[in-house]
Amino acid sequence: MSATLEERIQRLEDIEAIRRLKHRYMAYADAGYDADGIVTLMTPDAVWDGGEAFGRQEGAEAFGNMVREVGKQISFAAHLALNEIIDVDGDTARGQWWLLMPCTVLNDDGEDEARWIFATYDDRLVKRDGQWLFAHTVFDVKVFTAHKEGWAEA
Amino acid sequence: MAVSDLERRVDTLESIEAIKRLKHQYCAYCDAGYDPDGIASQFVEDGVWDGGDDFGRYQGREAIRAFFAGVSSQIVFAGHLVMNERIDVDGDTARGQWWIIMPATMMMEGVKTAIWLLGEYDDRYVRRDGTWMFQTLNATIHFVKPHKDGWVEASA
Repeated sequence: MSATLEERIQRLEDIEAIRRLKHRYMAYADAGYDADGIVTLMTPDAVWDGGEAFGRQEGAEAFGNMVREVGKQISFAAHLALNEIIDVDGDTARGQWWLLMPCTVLNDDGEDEARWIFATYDDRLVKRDGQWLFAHTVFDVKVFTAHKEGWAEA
Repeated sequence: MAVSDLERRVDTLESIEAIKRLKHQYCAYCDAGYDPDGIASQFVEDGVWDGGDDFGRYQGREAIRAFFAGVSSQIVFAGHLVMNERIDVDGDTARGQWWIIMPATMMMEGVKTAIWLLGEYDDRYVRRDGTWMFQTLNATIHFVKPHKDGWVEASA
């Protein structure tokens, strides 16, 4: 309660830095799944857990490899991040987000298909040498469906 | 000692952040099956949730709780995605205007139907004991349309 002005400003700056980190992650993904870029935003031992849809990757290198594979399947995507709930506690933080993603995906017939992903992220972050980084991400896909099919049965 | 100008400026930024969080948490409760207790806890005791002709007006925590207890049987999936916020803070009261685009699965004549809802919020907030809460939530729905039909007629 008796946080100093400097501590209060620090917290606001941390929230803004975490927003920018998430949006940079999304920008790398939009730019053809730039794996080399994305891994600079994570700790080396970061865990990325995409559940049944995308699997669990341990370590930034493994995640980068997965991102490269995803990039071969998804020729266009706009990773629109929304509804952030960011809680900072010193040099650690939690960030919860929604993802609304229109995309073009290679389907099983080898054809480009317009699809939607609706998903949530639950991120744990750490600040190392003044930089916020992703340490643990749970990516929960609610809907991954062809535009023409809709999502009533998803 | 009087509150410094710097302290007031920081307080305003903190309030804006707190109101964003309040709204996003409201949306998260809605997405989690319209959690009636969670939603009601964000309103002051005499708060108002006003969804206009489409969804009705509910005053007081109990009325809001009762309304939301019935929503999840009609809207079985939803992502309340909000954006374009304009948040104006004046001491312990504030106004927040937002857009919402919501992909959802709704029961329409007993059939699960993929829909898009587009709307705007015009909210009033108050700070009670240091916590920002909803005084009124006002939702104006522009359209609720099945995904397959598009929304040309509604956008005229």
